Amino acid sequence: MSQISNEKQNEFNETFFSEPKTRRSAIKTIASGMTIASLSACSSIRKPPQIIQAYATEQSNMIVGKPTYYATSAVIGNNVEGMLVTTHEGRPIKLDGNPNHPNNMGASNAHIQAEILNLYDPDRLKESQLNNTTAPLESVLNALLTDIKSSPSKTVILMNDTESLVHDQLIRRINQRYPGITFLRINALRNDNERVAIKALTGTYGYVNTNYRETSVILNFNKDFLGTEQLNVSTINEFMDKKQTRTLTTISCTSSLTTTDSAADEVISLSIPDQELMLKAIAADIINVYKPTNYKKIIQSLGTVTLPTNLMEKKSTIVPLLIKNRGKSTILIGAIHSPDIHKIGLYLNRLLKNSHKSTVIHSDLLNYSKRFRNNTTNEAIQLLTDKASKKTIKTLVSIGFDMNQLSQPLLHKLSDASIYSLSSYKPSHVPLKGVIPKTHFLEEWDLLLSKEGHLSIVQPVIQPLGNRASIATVLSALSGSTVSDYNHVKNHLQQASINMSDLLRKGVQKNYRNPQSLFVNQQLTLNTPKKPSEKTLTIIPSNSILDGRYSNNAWLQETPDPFSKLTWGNALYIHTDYAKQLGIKTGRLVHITLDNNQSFNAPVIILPGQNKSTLTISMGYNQMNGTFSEYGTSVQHISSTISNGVYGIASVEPLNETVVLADTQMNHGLDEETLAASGINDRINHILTIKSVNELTEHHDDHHDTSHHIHSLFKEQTYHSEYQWGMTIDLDRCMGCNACSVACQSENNIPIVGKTEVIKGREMSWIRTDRYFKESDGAVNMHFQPVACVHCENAPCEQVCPVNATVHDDEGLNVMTYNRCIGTRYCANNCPYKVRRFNFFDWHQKNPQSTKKNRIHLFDYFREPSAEQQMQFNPEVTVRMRGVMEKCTYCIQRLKTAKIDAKVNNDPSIIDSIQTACQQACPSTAIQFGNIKNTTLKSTKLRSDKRSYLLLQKELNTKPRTVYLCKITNPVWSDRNPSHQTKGTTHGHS
Amino acid sequence: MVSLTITVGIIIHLFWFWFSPKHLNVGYQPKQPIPFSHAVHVNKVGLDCRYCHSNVEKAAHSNIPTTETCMNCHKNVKTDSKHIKKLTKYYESGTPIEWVKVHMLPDYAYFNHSAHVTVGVSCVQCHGNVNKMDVVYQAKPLSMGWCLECHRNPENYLWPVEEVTNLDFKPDDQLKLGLELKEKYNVNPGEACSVCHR
Repeated sequence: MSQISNEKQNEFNETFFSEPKTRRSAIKTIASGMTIASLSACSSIRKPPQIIQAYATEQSNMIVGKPTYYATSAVIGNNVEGMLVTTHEGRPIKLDGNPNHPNNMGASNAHIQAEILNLYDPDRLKESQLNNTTAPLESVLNALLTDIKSSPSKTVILMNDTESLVHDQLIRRINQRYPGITFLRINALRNDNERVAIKALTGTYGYVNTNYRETSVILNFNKDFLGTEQLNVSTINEFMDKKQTRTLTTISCTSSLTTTDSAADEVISLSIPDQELMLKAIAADIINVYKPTNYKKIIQSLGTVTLPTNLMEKKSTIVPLLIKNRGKSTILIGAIHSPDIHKIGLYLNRLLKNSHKSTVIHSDLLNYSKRFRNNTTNEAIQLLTDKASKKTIKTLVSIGFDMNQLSQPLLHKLSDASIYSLSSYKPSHVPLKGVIPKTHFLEEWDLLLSKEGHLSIVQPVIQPLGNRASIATVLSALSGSTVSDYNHVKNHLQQASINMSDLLRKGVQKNYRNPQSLFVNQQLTLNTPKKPSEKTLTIIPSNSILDGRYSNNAWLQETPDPFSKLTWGNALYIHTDYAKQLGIKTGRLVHITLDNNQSFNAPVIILPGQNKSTLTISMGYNQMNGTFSEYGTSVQHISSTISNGVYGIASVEPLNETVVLADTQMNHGLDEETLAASGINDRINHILTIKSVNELTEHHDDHHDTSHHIHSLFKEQTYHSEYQWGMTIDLDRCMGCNACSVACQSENNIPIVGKTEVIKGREMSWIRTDRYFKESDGAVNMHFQPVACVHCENAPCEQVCPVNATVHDDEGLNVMTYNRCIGTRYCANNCPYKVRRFNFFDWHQKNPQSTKKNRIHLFDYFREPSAEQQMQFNPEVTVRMRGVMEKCTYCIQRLKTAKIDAKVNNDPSIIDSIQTACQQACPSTAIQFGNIKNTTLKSTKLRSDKRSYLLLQKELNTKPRTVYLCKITNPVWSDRNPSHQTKGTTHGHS
Repeated sequence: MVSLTITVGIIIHLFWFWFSPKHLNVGYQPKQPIPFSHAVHVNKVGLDCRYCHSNVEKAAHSNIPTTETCMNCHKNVKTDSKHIKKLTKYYESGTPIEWVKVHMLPDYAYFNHSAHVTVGVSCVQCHGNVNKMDVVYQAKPLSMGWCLECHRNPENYLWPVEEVTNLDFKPDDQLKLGLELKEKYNVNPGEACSVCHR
């Protein structure tokens, strides 16, 4: 009783101060204090004054605020690719393919897109160093010249492959000036084994060019011809075009799935030794059919091959297929295979009359043999090791070659030599006498001749962001010339009577020279093969960082590998059964010992598409010093030469340690395991539709039924505006290469979040590429589905936003207004496609390369992107702060700019030629975009294609504006009705 | 009761006016490195806005003229003035003049000059009578609500394209003219967020 009366007495007397001091009241006090403080701060602090610095003189060919485009080119991977640079007031902000250049026709790949970040990398060297102290460029060059002059024959110059006419000429001059000098070229990505085989069978070095237009059957042995082994970007589109005529069958024998395999009709999982057996068995059959001269001897040299029954069956289908398509088939051999296997492939292509039709062998255009002492990387390493052991190297100069790729014992032997390096980053573990920072290709002049014969110009679009020198400058200094890079290019063009301004405008002169075709005219002679190990390890170039050259590129580090979906590092790919046998799970560290007694520790990742007796790991990780390059497992020490290749495994021992891998597949998944219980496995065929050719013609498509019985929960909007935007994504053309997501990152100022945050599922990429494994007939293949915001007409996200920060505009766009967003994340929770990304932090501030900021007022942040990184930002797109939701906008900045330009210039055709960043980048033209009211556009026509379907439309009636086109396979021997096969579909983890 | 009304009144006034751009931004008149007078150059010399702000019809930005543009005349005109001597110094050294920005929009708002000027939105609608200003100040609040006034009813503000830079133009019947021009120039400014925010 007394207690009640007490409480009643206090009922109205309760004030803020009489409240018991709890955590809640403390927060209240702080909150109100903060409010008052911030209000008073707002009224007393003005926005800081902003300064406008106008140009001092008139700028020709530039309008402030409008982008200017320049044509340039560069060597990306192994290929010369033409590029179009977008610059804003002299700052390059984006790279795309050059539509004039036949090697990409305006498309690009992830590496072309990511190069812009390399330009602005604050880790790149800025000043020359001599004996570890900063020195002017001239003094380093002088020291280098003195060293070379003192003993030219004891000088070795290491280079990467070069396609430059300027370099070629300068190397010739240096060779003349210092007759004993040794030039070596090392490139882990060069297909040396193929080149050796071509030399043996044709007498000349060259490369194989597949003409997909003339091909009906592809039998592929581990060649990632759409990925890391692509000849150029254009070949991807050629392949996809041919594939869609439905007259191409691709059979891929693979030890580890690649993007190429995902586009194949049939996949046979075979280890590298088994692939050799398979090829030899097929070769024996074909040779027996055509009986060339000495055929008995050749069959004998192939050895006796016994295949297991399942492979015999497959062989009995493949051989007639090849014979039936004689002249229209091709056998492709991956770079990982030995020269002998390449020889068999080349020989079979000749027997099958594919030469000069589907399969063309081209000779090199630049005479490398005359300039360099080596033809293959192995030869170079051998020569270098010999010379180092004999102590006949006094000066070692690396010009553009990454010295980190050399093995430790070799570097140790070289410790007496004076080592100089022209490189973007200071090589770690190398005792250097002199370092010269290397320019990015956007900072230099050059002239490139692609192996296809196209001449393209490299022009600088920005002054070097540091006291950097180009390869040509250093070579020029060595040759004793004082001519500038620009004049070298100019002189070359004058001699060739090419109009320089014309070349600068177009960027390329097509078919400047024509590569010769080579004939297989030698007998097939094979070495006796080594006895293969039961288990093999394959080391392959990484899809993201290649041989390590992109390892400090944060965008590529955070781009998931197509197969493993790993970011920030590598892991050993292992098949489910092999892992079970070892009793290990994903993330477990293993100690692996090879036949050559080398060993290393690495975590494993279980992947169904991996071969059962093969382990695979990508190279290039953790071998360089840099903010972003110290992730993953380095494998460079396991071989005396460049590490990619096949190794026999002696033993695999699981260690008592497990690490967490930054695998993105389960982040933002449409079919997370929790959902699996609610029957999503049965619906997976609606999400990623795959049909066989027969099904496509038989079945009537009902996916377009938008009047499905599910009613909308909310009032549906109608759209009357003249422009209605829509996208189509053709899954039949997509091979998961990630060009779109890197292009999006570059266009839309998307930050990277780092490994720990990726593990938490917080990566920001607006486009994610879902990977699905599908099993049929015991063979597992993977399929890709890029998912960005699909711009639902009945968008579930809009219904739950408490502040109307995400709403529809009258053109059908689901727009996100960052300045309204208060970060409740309700929209992301309600998004069935899981495409919304939340800025949990100010990622740009958290980036380890960010720098300290001058604080202007109390609420100013403490760090900001470095001045160089800020230069990369697209000024047309808001840089988002923390606490803000973001997602794909269909590149609204491009839509708005085009609409305004169309109106100002009274030219509506500008709107018809709009491309989103992902569409522009896509090397297989899988993404189409446009105004769906304009029925003449390709994107609009594809919307009513019989392959089209709407993602989750049947389930949720969201009416997405992005239409998917289903994938079509042309099965050779697996079940012809794959819709019953999807139960085996898994999403990665098993 | 009275005190409550007054308190509420003050609070409303505090937020509605004191914290709004009408109070905080209008009248912002920073000191410029060179006291350039728009009034003199437009009214006395008779320059068109586009002589200096030459890209206003082509680009999102209306450019600040280059020092070279100033020097077209000032190589010969008033060369003994101390300000022109300063200008000449800037020109000869090639260092850019650090003008202080007067009209500031937040970074998430994307205003495009060309889209407005080419459909008859005069400079005066946003910048006020710059032709009468010796030192430029911000005349309009440039708040979102203020932008929307015109985006909702553009007919109240449209002038013939030929008159955009004639800041003293006075139409006889703005509404009639505006409706005609809205039709003629096909003006549908739109109120969706995506019109200005990207």
